[in-house]
Amino acid sequence: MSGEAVLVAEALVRHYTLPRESLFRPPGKVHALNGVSFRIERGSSLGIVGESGCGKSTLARAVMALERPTAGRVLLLGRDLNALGREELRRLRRHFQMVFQDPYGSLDPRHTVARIVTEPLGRTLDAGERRRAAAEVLESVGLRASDLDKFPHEFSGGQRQRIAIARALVTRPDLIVLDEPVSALDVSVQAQVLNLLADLQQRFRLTYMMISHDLGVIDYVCDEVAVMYLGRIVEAGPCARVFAAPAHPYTRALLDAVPRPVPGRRVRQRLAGNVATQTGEIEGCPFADRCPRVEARCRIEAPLLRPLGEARLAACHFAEAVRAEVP
Amino acid sequence: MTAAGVTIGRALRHRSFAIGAALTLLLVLVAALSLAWTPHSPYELDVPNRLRPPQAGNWLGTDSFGRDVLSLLMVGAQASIIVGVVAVGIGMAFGVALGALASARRGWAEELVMRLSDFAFAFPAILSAIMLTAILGPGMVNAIIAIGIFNIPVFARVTRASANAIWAREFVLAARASGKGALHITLEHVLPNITSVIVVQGTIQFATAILAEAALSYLGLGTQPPQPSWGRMLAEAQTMMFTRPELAIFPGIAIALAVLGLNLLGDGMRDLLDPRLRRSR
Ligand SMILES: Nc1ncnc2c1ncn2[C@@H]1O[C@H](COP(=O)(O)OP(=O)(O)OP(=O)(O)O)[C@@H](O)[C@H]1O
Ligand code: SF4
Ligand SMILES: [Mg+2]
Repeated sequence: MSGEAVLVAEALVRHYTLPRESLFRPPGKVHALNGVSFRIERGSSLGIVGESGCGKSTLARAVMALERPTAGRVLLLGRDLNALGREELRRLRRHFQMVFQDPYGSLDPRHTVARIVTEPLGRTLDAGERRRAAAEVLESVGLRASDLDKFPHEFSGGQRQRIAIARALVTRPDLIVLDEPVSALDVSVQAQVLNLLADLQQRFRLTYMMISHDLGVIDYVCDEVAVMYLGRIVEAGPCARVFAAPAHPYTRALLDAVPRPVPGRRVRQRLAGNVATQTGEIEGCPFADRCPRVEARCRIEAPLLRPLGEARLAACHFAEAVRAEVP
Repeated sequence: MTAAGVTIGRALRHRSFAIGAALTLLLVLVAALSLAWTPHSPYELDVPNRLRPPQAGNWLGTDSFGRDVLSLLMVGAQASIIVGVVAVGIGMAFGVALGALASARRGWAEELVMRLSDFAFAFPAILSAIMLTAILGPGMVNAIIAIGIFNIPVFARVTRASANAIWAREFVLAARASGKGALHITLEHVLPNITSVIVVQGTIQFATAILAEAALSYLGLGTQPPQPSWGRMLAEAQTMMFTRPELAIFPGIAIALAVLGLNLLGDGMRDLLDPRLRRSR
């Protein structure tokens, strides 16, 4: 449980101020992250799930130091990313890389594959070394060295995502952040890319933080999962245990929404409403309006994210009872 | 390369691009030829032979000083091209730099650049060029500077708008995540992805610059005698508008064809480049 922490997020908060719509009203606010904390140890992988708008990409941008959090810290290999000088941060960047959701938008259409893949190397190597590194990393994602001089439009979506993965691998990073790495791909291609990600993780002992709204994807690649709701983690723990016996009504609802051919499964519970973004302060449990188990206490007292044993955490007053329910 | 072959084939089938390219090529070829050869010297005054109608030896006739009109038109193309190239070059160099800076820096830099260009846009470009040459004094160099300055905001705006769209793309975020700064992102990602837009705008501004040069020369503020210029030919033909209308018609046609050709070329390029951008998205 206490290996070397590659990434630690401490109480991350990110509020966006929206452009003013009217002179006479205060500008709108979006509370994208409301105190998110977690740690990822070397060689393990954390999946982040949640509905659209719950702050997953915001979290990824904060972790990648592409955006400054309103409050909280991001520690990579023990170093606070937002306390580093510009040059120090630039040098540290080779230790954490990102794969984006859209393989059509994340590769510059004017650059060759060789140039795209070696961009994270900066100016550290000479031309020959860069080419060798690029060829090697392309081969490790199942592409050929002869693809080096092609342009992105010559590849399919799945191949492009392989290029994006190769690019993330080229610096041999300690952490790779993947934001919905397969959701833009055809279902038939998704499995191949997921297999590749799982393979690479074993081969290079990579550490992943993988965002997805698809529980199956997380279950396949990750050891641990964190479920986000309205910019908070509401449940976290090892995938196997969380998916077998969810301890938060929201996780349970997410699992119930996945059509799975499990015989004897009880009637699916529908998740009412779709408030997936928070725009102001909330009293009590943020899930109360949609929760099937809501009680008077929930509206007054906000449940804390608390340990349940078995390396699990949940933010619900009745977590033990929820966990004990038969699935 | 097959990809280039397909593109050239498609380009030639695009009517306005083909016509525009042909007219622009003609303009350039005529100007180039006039450097080496003209039927007569455009500087040779031949008063006894003044105002000859079109005929063998003087295909387009002679003007009120007996100069060969065809030769004047040919050499006049030089002035149009020089003014166009240099003025658009000035506008492009400064405009693209300012627009890219505004887009990369946002905040007050963007605000400053855009308010300055609003200011410049508040006056019609030709009027501003006239004002500026009136201040700087007449002459071709000053005409170029004046037209160039008023091209800056045009390029600044186009550059800023299209650069902003590129800055919002994910590959820019990816470049930032790999440690690239704003300058390198601008040079390596933003500018290469907006060159087509800038080239199209440059072509259209070229046409405007030719028109502006003609207007300034017509008013006596641009190209000075004896250097032939289409605008001055128009001015000189004015007094004989009713006796010898072709003296005004020929330079008029030359200006119209050059401007039309460049505009068609610009429009055609815009059409041809757009779907390509969409396809490679
Ligand atoms: N730059 C921004 N300015 C204002 N609001 C923003 C900005 N970025 C994100 N948001 C808002 O913050 C909330 C969280 O957005 P985020 O992109 O993190 O969600 P997400 O969980 O990644 O959703 P999805 O699954 O749709 O990608 C959303 O309501 C979004 O509109
Ligand atoms: S605290 Fe109450 S409202 Fe919140 S998830 Fe638990 S049962 Fe539902
Ligand atoms: Mg997202």
